[in-house]
Amino acid sequence: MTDRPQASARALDGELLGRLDRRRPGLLVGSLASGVLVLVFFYCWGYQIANGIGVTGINRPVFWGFYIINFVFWIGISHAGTLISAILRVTKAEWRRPVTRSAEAITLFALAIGGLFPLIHLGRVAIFYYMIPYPNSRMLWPNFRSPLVWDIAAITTYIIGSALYLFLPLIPDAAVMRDRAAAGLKKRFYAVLALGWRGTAQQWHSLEWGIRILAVAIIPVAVSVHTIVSWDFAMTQTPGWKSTIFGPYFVVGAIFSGIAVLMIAMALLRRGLALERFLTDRVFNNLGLLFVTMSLVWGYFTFAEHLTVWYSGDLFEKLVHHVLLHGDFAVPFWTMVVVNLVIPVAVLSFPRGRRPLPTALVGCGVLVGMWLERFLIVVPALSTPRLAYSIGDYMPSWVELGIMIGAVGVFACLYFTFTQLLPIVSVWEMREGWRHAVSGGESGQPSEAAPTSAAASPAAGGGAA
Amino acid sequence: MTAAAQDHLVEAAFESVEDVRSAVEAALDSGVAASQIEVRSPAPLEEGELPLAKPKSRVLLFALSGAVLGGLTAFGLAAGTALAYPLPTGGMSIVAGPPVGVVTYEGTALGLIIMTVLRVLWEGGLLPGRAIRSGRGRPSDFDRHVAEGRLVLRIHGLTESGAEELRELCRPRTVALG
Repeated sequence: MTDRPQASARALDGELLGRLDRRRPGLLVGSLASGVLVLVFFYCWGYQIANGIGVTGINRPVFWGFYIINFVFWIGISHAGTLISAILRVTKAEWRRPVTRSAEAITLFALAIGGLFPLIHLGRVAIFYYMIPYPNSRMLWPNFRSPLVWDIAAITTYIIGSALYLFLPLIPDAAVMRDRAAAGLKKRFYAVLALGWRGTAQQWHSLEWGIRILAVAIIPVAVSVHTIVSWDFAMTQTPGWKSTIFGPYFVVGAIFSGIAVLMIAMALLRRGLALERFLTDRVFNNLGLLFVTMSLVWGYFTFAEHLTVWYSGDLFEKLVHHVLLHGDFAVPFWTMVVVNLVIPVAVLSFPRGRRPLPTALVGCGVLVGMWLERFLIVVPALSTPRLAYSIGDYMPSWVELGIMIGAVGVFACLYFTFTQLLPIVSVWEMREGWRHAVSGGESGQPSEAAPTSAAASPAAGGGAA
Repeated sequence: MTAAAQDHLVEAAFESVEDVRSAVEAALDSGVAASQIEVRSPAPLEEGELPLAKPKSRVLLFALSGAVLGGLTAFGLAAGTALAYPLPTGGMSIVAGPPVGVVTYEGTALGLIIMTVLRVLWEGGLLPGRAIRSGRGRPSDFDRHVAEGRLVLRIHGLTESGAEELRELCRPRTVALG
């Protein structure tokens, strides 16, 4: 080992800790601004609880409106983290290190919000407990043959798994924050989170085993969650929903929208926290390649889905197909195709397009496109049923719009708050990567962004002994 | 000699794994048992980087046990509740394979995940109320060095003269000594 890479790694270590210690007014402003949207969210929900589900635009025959669209959308976003982070961990991709924590946090917060939408859709929120399996007085259990009950099982598993998958690798970093904090409330907070972590060989060994097992276990859980969400649709006889490829189609869409959020979050973090030396161009390039791949896979599934419907000649299926491609929903449909397929392929196919700003902008477009995709799955199919006399329109009310926009605020508020309180870049994983790079094991960050050894002063290294 | 006389502790912080390795080798050569040595690091160390035995872990065993337990519980819930209150639906079986399979699958995953995390916390002495054996894992003033990215070597159960001798061995490479 040479002195220079060692010093470079120490300097980067000190710089990362310095970035995490620094107070960031931008994040505070972000938290407060999103806090306003949180109020909008709870006001609208409270208004609906007080006045009943009639305040929404949901009515016969469109019984599933914005709430179920947003449920599917947010559950899809939740695939950002756990799935992407787990796949990158399992494949030992070195460039994952600055990305994983952010991705896992996105998963947990998106999942929490997504899980709220079925409760909001219930109208009478309190009757949620009917779905919980417990031996009640009349021995009436939830009907496990219903895909809606599978949803409960899958989402419960996924949210517990995602929370633990975020928490477990966070323990060593909470200990870092604890040992660097001055005595007081902050130190006590981190001490509770760190659970007495000291960094002994036994602790690291057990933690590595745990993360490895969770990473492998969480991938099939994530796949199952969105597959089961798709079955909420595919298990019905509704034209436009009865499809055998809905499971993989939903999973692909979920990963695609998850990467979109991740790209936006990473670009914001890079700029907001000045993390250019950690969230390097290489990270964006690799995520951009993954992004364009998912765009093409999504395009393939969309084509396959619509081709089989068109070719089938089934009257009711073709009716839904017609309103999508040529009828009332043609504008959102073709917008979706452009922002989900044409623009990502046109921009991300070139190295210049896989930089932070272009990828974030493409990500914004994809989010719109994926929301439209969920809208186009739910509304056209329900508003074009088999029985001609029940054809009807759907127009969301201000309550539904308020809850939808407010949910974005809840997500942003949770994410900003998390970023302010805890290291959004995993310190110990970065250190592990630098150690690998220093020992020549794999190419890591120092080789890309190695400062000169002169910069590696004791202060840059994190303080004198 | 009393137990208190053999309870001296040497703590030293190092910048690199190579320095810790040299210090550990020197300590082992001077007659210190491997069980008296503890190394705290800011990131996991590769196997064989230090001349100490690799820790043992039964996380995988517990994870698999949790999977079996969770799977059986979920199967019992899905199949048992269907039998407890049979709802005949269009000639379909009361205990239908695919729905029971889906619920069992999720239960298996949930059991595996929960048992994995509990075992990791147990093995690391991180569960509240669990006694931390033989002084390992106790807070130390040197924990701050680990937070700053250094490695800390702790050797306990030493006599006063033994501790002083080890401090002299560590001194050339260490950035802090106690």
